[in-house]
Amino acid sequence: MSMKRFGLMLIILVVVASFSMAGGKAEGQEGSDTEPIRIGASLALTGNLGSAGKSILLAWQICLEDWNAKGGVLGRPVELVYYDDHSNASEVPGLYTKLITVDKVDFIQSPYGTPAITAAMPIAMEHGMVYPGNAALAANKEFNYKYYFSFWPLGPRQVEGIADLFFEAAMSSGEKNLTVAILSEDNEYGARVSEGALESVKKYGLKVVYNDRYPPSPATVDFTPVVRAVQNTGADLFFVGSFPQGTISIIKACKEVGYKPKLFGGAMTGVAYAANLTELGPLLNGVCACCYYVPEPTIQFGNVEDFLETYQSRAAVEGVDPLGYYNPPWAYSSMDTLLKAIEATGSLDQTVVGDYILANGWDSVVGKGAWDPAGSGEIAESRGFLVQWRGIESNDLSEFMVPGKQVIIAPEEYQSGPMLWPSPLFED
Amino acid sequence: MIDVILNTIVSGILIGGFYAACAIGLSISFGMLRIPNIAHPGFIIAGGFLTYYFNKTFGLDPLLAGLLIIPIFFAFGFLLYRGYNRFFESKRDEREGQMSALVLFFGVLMIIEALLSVTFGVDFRTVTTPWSSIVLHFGSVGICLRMAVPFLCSVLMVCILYLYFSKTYLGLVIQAVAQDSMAATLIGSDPRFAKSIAFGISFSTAAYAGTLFVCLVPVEPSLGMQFLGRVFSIAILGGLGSPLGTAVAGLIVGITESLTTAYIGSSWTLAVSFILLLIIIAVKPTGLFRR
Repeated sequence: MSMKRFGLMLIILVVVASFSMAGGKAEGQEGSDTEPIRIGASLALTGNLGSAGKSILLAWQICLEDWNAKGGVLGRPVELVYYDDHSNASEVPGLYTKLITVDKVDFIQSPYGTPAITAAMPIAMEHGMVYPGNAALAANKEFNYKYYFSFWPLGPRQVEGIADLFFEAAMSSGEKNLTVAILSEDNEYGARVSEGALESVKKYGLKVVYNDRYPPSPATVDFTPVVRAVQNTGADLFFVGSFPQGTISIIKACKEVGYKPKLFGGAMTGVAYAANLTELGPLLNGVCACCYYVPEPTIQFGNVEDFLETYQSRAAVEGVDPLGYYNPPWAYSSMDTLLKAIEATGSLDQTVVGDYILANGWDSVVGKGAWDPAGSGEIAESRGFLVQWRGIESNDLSEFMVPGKQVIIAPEEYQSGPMLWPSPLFED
Repeated sequence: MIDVILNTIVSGILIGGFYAACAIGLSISFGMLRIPNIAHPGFIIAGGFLTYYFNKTFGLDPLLAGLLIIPIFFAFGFLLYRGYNRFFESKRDEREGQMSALVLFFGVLMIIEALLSVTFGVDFRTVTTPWSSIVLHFGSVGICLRMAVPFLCSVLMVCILYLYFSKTYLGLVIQAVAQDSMAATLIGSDPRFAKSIAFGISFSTAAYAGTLFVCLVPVEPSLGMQFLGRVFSIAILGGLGSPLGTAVAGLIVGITESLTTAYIGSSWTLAVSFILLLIIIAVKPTGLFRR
């Protein structure tokens, strides 16, 4: 093959790969009469986290539309510049470097999820950018970055938070000598979930009989061997830290091998997405997982219902998660808090805006509150709760839009019903 | 103890059969036609989404929906090979042709992912049938139909392909063309037609593997890219161009993964599988069944 042809092929390959790298859409690249304020981010718009990424994007777009309808920020329109990171954290640092140094955005929003947010943290720190986080588990633990603000409702005890809710609920049964199996996905999120679960287990004096991680999707196709290994230990409590595909597959595998621990679930992401809820349907009965919004009467957070009404009417049209219970309210709040800080300070200076958010806390559709005084960048008080599904009779989405089917069992302040113990797993 | 071992091995066999279904088309295109179709896993996922579409829209059983999409994929594979042959293969020597194919199919893989994302969105999709959750018990061994049905379909697929390539005239012509295209021409066969048929068959297997995939686990558009390594490794392990070898390789990988998960730890699953692959390739570089 001649060098010329080889060179041509190489160019084609690079061009194709470049399209893949920057497959997302950059809005607001063109100027206008009044220079727009530009907010940059990468999001998982495709890949295994695409459902979450797209719902966050819609929440941000609704937020920007709300602000622009009011005349913008500092009298200027606000625009979003975003790229698709394909749910691949290794693409994130490059995209944020491009956003800051090439696109020269005024502010940034984080990508979605612990691995991606952690990956972009050094870039945000290097450039001194205010860095609002969108759904990460203790992403700032090793960095201690002053201007990282986590819009995620678990509070300062991020790593142990979900596990605490789960094991606290188990302890409230009054049963003694409970044994625990911990299974999590082998990524940044799973590692932190496991770490938190082990801390929590120690606190409650429980005995761990199984602790392992499984290779992330799609490396693990069949979960029955791993669930059977857990079943073989006879663990009473099965605590899982999984991403969406793992969540669905592990629940199905438990049903198939006939494993019915007394409490099952924990940090299973994806159970709040409509597609997964309708896929699982009655299989969710008895499962417990940490959630951030469900239509229960004990949940009264800010204007979440109003926001969800807007979101749901748009989501149906745009083919995005039609419920929006998981990320969207917090994603809206993340963008809204940033824009409010810019407006209040009248400045685009990162330090000025960052200090303002630090001092004034967060205030948006999810309510308002302060930041953890210890400087973790997390909200001061946890807003997470543990839900136990029950009475799900079909795979219809309407099952999940009414009270009484996703009962909050912990913590006490949000409790909307008693815990069923042992969990009536998979019972119609 | 014996119960656990038996159940673990059965799980490995069932998932191994599915792996074989995923890899067999690649074995045909890469082994017989020498076309490194790295878009193969993308077509598997496309098959899964089309099955999902037929299931949700018309209420068809996924296994039936899979049969309906096979002709579509066959025709597409047939025509794609014609185009590939016209614009790439016939204008280059074999080495250049393979290089071109890598670039071409890499692009095709990404186009498939983009099309699926736009058409179906990025949510995980799966199909659930009345038989999906049925578990049959044979003594202490439990077999879920969600796993067993794809396995049986895979076995059937391998048997049909084995018989086709070893007993039918066209199958033998394809084998002859795969061995020596020029010599096959001298005895009156049309290599281009034979290869088009083989490529169509390769795509048909991808379509049905996709059907089985979406019955087993939820799929989303980018899974094809992520599944590439496993599909290639099984095809190579079995010996490119050998349906039987691919089936055995799938079973070896499935059982190894299953036992590793149960007795060493699920975090070691991939590592042990690939160590095994390296050992077998080191001992027998052509794969298990390639002559």
